[in-house]
Amino acid sequence: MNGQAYYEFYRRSTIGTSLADALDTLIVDQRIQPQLAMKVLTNFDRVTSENLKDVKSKMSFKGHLHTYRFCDDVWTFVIKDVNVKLDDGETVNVEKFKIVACNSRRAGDS
Amino acid sequence: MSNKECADLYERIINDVIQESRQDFEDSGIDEQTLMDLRKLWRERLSKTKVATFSWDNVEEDEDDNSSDDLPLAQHHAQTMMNSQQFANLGGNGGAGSNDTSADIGGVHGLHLPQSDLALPTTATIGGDEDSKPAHGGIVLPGGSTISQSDGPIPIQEIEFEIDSRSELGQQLMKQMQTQQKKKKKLMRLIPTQSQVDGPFDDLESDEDDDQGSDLGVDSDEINSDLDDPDDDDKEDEEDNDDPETNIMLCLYDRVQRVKNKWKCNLKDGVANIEGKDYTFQKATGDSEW
Repeated sequence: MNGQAYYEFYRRSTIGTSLADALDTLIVDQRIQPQLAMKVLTNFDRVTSENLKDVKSKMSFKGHLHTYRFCDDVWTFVIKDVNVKLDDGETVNVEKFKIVACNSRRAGDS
Repeated sequence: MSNKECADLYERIINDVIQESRQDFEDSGIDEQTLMDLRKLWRERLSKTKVATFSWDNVEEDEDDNSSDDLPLAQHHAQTMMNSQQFANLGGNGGAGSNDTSADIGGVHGLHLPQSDLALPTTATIGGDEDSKPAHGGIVLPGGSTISQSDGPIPIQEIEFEIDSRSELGQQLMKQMQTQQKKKKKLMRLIPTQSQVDGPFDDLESDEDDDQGSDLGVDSDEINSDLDDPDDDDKEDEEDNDDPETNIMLCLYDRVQRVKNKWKCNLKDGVANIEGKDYTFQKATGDSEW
């Protein structure tokens, strides 16, 4: 566990940005130091990565691949006219959809 | 709502992060109340995004209603006292607060107006403070009246506001203050390049310099050159655009395959925002044609 590096990119998710907002508020109010906020974000990286392993649901999508990019071991796709199928049979159509995917083999369990 | 699992996951993440950050807070000498406030702020922010329905959404509203119905004024007052004490403690224990030092050096403890507490409407009491960077001529009180500055200019003004973060007005004020601060910071960064006080620079207007390109001149970096500013703007624009991450999926990939123009990918451990709702998945497969 200790010293293991976890991906930071989940901070871009809704739960991550709302944490960053909350921490920012406390920093602006001078109730915590930025260093402490960084520690909390590091905890968030670890907790999120670990907790996502316990998720059960599945998803599939089809669409028109508009852009693909592979850089620094990260895939980025922009897919247009996407049809997303969720676990419960619900489908959602999205005009434009971006995927940022990191390599699973380095996701903290290597 | 099909994203119940996502709400559960988010709640677990919040609880775990708070739990695991407790030691870090202790090590930094920050009290438990601040940790709880972090959780409260986090939940509030998350609820505002409306990406899912959370268990605390109803509970917290009830709590708030009760407390404010019972004794609104006393509540505000208690909150005020608590916050002030916390700040006092912070200053005493932490010591390193830049707020304190700068204020003390200046010999002016901010422009801490004793009457400002009273002048503010009761809905907007006390909760944060703000460093105001550029100097204003005076202070505008909520009533519209101004207190003009009569004791000469101060290099750095510190104005302390406290706002009740529970009230809607308070939150709005906080937001406004934060955006204003950001703007001011941007302004501060731009000021050195924008404010030209040593007269017009004729050199660059000559044809010679124009031909060489303004990026070659040493001056052009300092002065508001064409190359300088748009870069800054672009960066800021990108940051702004990145802020609301909509229709994005963050995940890990197991395999990405391509046969001619057909792409297949196997993804896992993902969290996705789709049309304003968040979803999580253990595995996802995608087929797309380029």
